[in-house]
Amino acid sequence: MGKRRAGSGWRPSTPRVPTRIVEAYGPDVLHIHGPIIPARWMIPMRLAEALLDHGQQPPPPVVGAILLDTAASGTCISQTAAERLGLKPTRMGVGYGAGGRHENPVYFARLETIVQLLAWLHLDSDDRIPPLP
Amino acid sequence: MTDRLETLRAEQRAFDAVLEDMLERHAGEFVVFHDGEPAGFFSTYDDAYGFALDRFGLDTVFLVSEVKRRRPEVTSIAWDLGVMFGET
Repeated sequence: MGKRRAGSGWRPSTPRVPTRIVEAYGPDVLHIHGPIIPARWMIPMRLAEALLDHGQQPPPPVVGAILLDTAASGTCISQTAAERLGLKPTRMGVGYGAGGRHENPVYFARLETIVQLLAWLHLDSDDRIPPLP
Repeated sequence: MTDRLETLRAEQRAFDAVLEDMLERHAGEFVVFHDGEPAGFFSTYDDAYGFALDRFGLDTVFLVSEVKRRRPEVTSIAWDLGVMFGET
């Protein structure tokens, strides 16, 4: 870092970063697949601990892509993913869809989404906007 | 799986039957139901779930739920189709 000199127009030596976000897969990916992001389902920590206490290894995560709906009020897991993890339902939920009344098992699970920062935003000021965690 | 779901449905019916009573003293808490009876009330879901695992083991059917009235939920077609596919 250099010394600040009055009236010299000095600015911190922060490296300039790209001002545009570069996507790695091309626009066709969003068009074809929709707003999906990488994610993985895992069993709850409490269940993992209980399995280890009983001499059993927790199952590996189920890795795939999740459809992100920002207006959703709940999160759905496929029955296949729940069964792969060995999850057992903890209550029953009633819902209504196109096929009428449904009774669905509800699971307790962990969902981890993977978001990779591709670019920083850069303003003309010296402030930098950090990425979302 | 079918037997487990049938047992869980029975626990759900027991929960629903006493929900109004539970709401008077335990609204917003998390309850564990087993054998048609509340086994404990907790401040977090995680605590209730951990208690149930410790108390009843890995293979016993139990219900864990927040003590609250639920509105009918619109079922996403994604549940039936599966929103997530992948290989382990």
